[in-house]
Amino acid sequence: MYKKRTLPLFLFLFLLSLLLILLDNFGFLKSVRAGSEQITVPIRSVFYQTGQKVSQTISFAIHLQGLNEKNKQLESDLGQFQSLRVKLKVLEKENQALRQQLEAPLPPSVKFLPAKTLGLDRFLIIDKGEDDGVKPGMTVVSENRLVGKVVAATARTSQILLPPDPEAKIPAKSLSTNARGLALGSFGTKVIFSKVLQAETLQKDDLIVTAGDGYLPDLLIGKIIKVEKREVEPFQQAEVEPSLNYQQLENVFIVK
Amino acid sequence: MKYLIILLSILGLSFLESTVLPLNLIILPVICLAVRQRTDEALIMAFLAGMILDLSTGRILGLDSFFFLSLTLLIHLYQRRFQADRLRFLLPFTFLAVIINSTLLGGALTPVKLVINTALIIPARLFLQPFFKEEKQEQLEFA
Repeated sequence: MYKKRTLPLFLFLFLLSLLLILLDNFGFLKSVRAGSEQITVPIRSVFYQTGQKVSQTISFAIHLQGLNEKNKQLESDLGQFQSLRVKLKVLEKENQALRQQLEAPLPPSVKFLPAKTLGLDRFLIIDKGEDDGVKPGMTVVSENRLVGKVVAATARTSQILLPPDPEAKIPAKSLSTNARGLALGSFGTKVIFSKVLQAETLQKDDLIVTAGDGYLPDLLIGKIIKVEKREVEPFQQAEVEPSLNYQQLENVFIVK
Repeated sequence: MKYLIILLSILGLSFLESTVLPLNLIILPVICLAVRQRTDEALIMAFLAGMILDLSTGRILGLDSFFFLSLTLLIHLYQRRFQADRLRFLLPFTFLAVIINSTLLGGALTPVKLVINTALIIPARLFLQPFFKEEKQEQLEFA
């Protein structure tokens, strides 16, 4: 009995899947997705936050022994930071005065939309979508650091392409030497600062920032940890450690 | 009742997969069901599991169902030849299925994740054991 009805059932489900793929691809299932997200988004949010707490607790337990040493180190760092803070305040005032003098405030069109992270698979998923005005191509930041770019948005969620993703190609430059190139994702775990001319200078520990071209300029991508230069090749490259731990991100901002 | 429990487990796994555990978790119950359940039941569960996963991850609706149905069909075609419910079949098959799934859907797959993902078929099989019927499995035949 099963044999007779198995093949038609398989074909029916197979064709139904194909039909759903087509309908979703052309945007006919947006209402279905929006309806399901009304239920799934709050649950995913709870799962993600709980997961983060569990992960932090486990991490704390594992690193408990090293925390004393780290605490001493941090105390000495704190003194240095306090003096830096004073310098920063002075610089802030100077900067403000210069801005007023040059009449060059930040563009009024740039607005930041706060969003919470919902999960991290290949893409980072956030709780803002088309209903909030999010569109593919928008840049996502955390402070002055680049989180990524929106690649897809549903009614209430969006998917963010992160710099370590193999599809990421970000026009970038090194901060101190101004060497220009492309920040390319590699294996979803690291970033390669590539396509840099041999004549340019790359230094270990130099910071890599966005160079504009579709992204806000001067957003921090990461720090050079290894320079790879071979004279026979037209370009040099460097391995970059991302400035953010994407698994620990909770709040990000979409640049509208 | 047993299908409700299995579906709720799949729902829970899909939330885990889309939030804190970036592994291909849903593929595990789909493979277990495909090797032990009747073909028609396994096909329906594969379709529903795919739909749940697509809805919770935000992927194109039907994409995972399409893959899981193909997987279930493949298992049923070769079930008797390879004694599909044995670990010596399940482990390499899960290994290959996870690689193909991650490649098709573009997930970041490291060797460590791949090994962990494959090994998880053992607890998944143990968890689903009480739900399996002992009756002889039916094979999908096109002839």
